[in-house]
Amino acid sequence: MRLYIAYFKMKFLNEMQYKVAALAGIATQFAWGFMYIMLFTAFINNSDTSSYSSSQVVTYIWLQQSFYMLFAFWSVDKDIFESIVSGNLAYELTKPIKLYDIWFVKTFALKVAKTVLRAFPIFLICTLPVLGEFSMSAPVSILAAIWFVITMFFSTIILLSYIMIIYVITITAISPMGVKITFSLIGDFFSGGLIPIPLMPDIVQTILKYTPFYYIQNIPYNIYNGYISSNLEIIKIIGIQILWIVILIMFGKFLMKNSMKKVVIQGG
Amino acid sequence: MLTIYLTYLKIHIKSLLQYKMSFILTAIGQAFSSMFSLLAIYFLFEKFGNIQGYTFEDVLICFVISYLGFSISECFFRGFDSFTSTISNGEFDRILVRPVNIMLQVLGTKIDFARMGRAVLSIIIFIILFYYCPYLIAMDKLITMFFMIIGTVIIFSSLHVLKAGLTFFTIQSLELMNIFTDGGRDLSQYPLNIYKKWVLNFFTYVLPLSMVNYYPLLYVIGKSSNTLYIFAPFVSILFILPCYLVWKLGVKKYQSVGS
Repeated sequence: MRLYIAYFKMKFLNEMQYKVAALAGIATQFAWGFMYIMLFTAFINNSDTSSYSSSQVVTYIWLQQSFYMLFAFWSVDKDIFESIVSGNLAYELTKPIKLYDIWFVKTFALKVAKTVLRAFPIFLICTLPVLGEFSMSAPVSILAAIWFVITMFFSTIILLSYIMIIYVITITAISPMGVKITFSLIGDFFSGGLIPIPLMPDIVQTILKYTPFYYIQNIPYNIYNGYISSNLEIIKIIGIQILWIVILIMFGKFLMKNSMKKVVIQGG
Repeated sequence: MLTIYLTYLKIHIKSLLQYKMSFILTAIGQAFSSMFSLLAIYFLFEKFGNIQGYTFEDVLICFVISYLGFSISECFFRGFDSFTSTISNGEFDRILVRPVNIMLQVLGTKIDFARMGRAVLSIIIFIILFYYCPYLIAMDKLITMFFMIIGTVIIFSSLHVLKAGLTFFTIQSLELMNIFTDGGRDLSQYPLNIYKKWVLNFFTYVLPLSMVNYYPLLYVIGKSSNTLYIFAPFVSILFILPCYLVWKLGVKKYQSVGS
């Protein structure tokens, strides 16, 4: 365990140095946040049958912008990709460590660091009442806030175990970038990265409930804004989240074991 | 000057043919990511039917023109878009000592044909659009759409030059400028008046994106019969001037940094 904590700390502190990049990121996040809010509220205000209110969408978007780096599928550990492509993976393999677990911890640390730098400023500013109709509301209840924190954690683990599968496939793929782009675009879109899942057609929503994508950012944000409010349903959702975590991690470890058997180091 | 640029083009095409597979995959990746933007629009219309009276086809015209213009400009003005690296690795010093126009050389350093993946997708959607909306095949509408595409290319290319010009003053990469380039592209997927009033004002009086994307669109989809709107994209030419000035000032004050 100490080993993993050490890796976490190393990656975390390393990432915390990029403060200027984070500042630019925050400005970009704001611009996109305003853009999406205006777009979605235009659609919602235009229709009288929408079950998703415009204040819910505002809160959803700001949460999404705050935790953007946590749930962005493309934000992965570049060093891991590089070690795979350049062949430095060979060194990692000689160390007495479990590669899957180390990669998991490293990516987790990276994402937490990137999020910490961005989330708090965005979170603070967008709750300011000056923003009027653009300002984010508080969690609908104290219970919702607690559920938010719990499901946030499980959502992050689901995402990480999905990213782990991307890494592992990259080891044996011919075009690493192709794998990464395809997997992250699909994940990003169907987890509600471009449009919130409640704004998708009903049939798509029904299908997505059978995929892990539904249980990532979609869940905590929509609990926070009150779209998902029944406690019974939330408990059921957490159960499914854990189920997906188990499935994805088992699948990832299985793939890893298989690809390690026939790994060919290309670099030199 | 043209012959030099053509030589640059030839070299880039030759080098691209060396890595055919990589080129094709990158281009497909570009098209793939636009597919999801398109899917997002489709889903929203599937759910809501229309947005302030605009139909799916109306928005599609807007989207296609914006993406087509953006990708053409990204392909040919890539040298300006990624100008930070040209400055930081000292490449710009080499450009300065050559007796050829500076802008032409920056243009020539990078031509990224893989960016055309988006353009190809846009053209395919265009053809489908013509099939479903035969009213678009009229001389005045075709001309308007042609002006719109050219205008979009001019606006985004000027923005790339502006971004490169500002790099002289900041040295660092200007991620903030992406708000206007990528943000402009994403905003103009939809007619600009669906947003708040100040958005339309900003994109009319500061960055004249509405002149190439919104007002002429009203004419194309028949929401306005003002024939003046056909020629609105010409306003984009005015936007070249300030961007060019910033670039000129930047070159003047340039001090070498790299090695």
